Amino acid sequence: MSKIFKALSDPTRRRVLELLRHRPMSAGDISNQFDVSRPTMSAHFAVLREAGLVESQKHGKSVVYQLQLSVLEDALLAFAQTFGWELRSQPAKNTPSTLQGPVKK
Amino acid sequence: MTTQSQNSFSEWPIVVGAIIFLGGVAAIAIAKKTGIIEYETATRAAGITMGMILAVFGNFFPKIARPLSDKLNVTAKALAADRASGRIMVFAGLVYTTLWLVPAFSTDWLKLFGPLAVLCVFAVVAINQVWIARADILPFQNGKPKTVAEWKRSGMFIIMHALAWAFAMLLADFIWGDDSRIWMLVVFIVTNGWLSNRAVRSMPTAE
Repeated sequence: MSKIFKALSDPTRRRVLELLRHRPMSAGDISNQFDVSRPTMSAHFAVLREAGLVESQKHGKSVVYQLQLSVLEDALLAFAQTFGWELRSQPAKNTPSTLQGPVKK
Repeated sequence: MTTQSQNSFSEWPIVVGAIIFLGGVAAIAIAKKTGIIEYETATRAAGITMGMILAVFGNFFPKIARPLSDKLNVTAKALAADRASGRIMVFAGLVYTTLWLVPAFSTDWLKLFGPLAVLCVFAVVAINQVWIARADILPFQNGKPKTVAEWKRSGMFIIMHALAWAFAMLLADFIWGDDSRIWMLVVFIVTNGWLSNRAVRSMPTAE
């Protein structure tokens, strides 16, 4: 459960989940929506996959991500989005949370 | 073409949870038989357990029953349909549990309208699956790759089928009595055996 809370505590990862709510997307398409480096996005994807919130599938050369949320996790995501959960502990250097940039409009 | 999927979700906690639920139901039955708890209490405890099983199943339905299509637009529709199905079942399970907890509602009233309402919910979920998710992601299809995803999806539909029968048997038992329950049990064994046989035949060797 702590992995899920950790995954949902980051605004970038929540935004990724919101994007995937509409349709499955390739890693490249998701990364293009954010002003962050590819390795940072990869780290975010790894956290989401580790928490079991997304699953990845290889479609040809690209990796496609799709949501894998239970109803409770879906509700937690909505709650986190509404109240803007943030991880209170000091983030370590070079973790995805410290490297994230603004979301492209 | 889609190749293997990666996810770190484990079903083991659900299996343990199911065993605990079954143990709880058995404990209620034994306690009722030995006179430790009264008929009314046992009936309410069984109703609460059934509601919780429905809610927990609905919670995990969109997580385990994964879409099978290679087409992303079909997968998107299927994911939306699965999420809607899950939410409907969780809501129904929580309402069912809550109603059995309230002493103001008589057990006779709940035995009639509770299973009837849940069967309506299963009908809505079935229509949702067929009309929104479309044939591409339905389980038990011939000529499809025998994958873990297909097997898991089939498994979830077998559990849903069993749950629907459980509520139907409760309703039939209240309306028509013991004989109807026995006949329904026979039909359930046949249909569930047929579905399980189809799922086992599609069991993957590797993914």
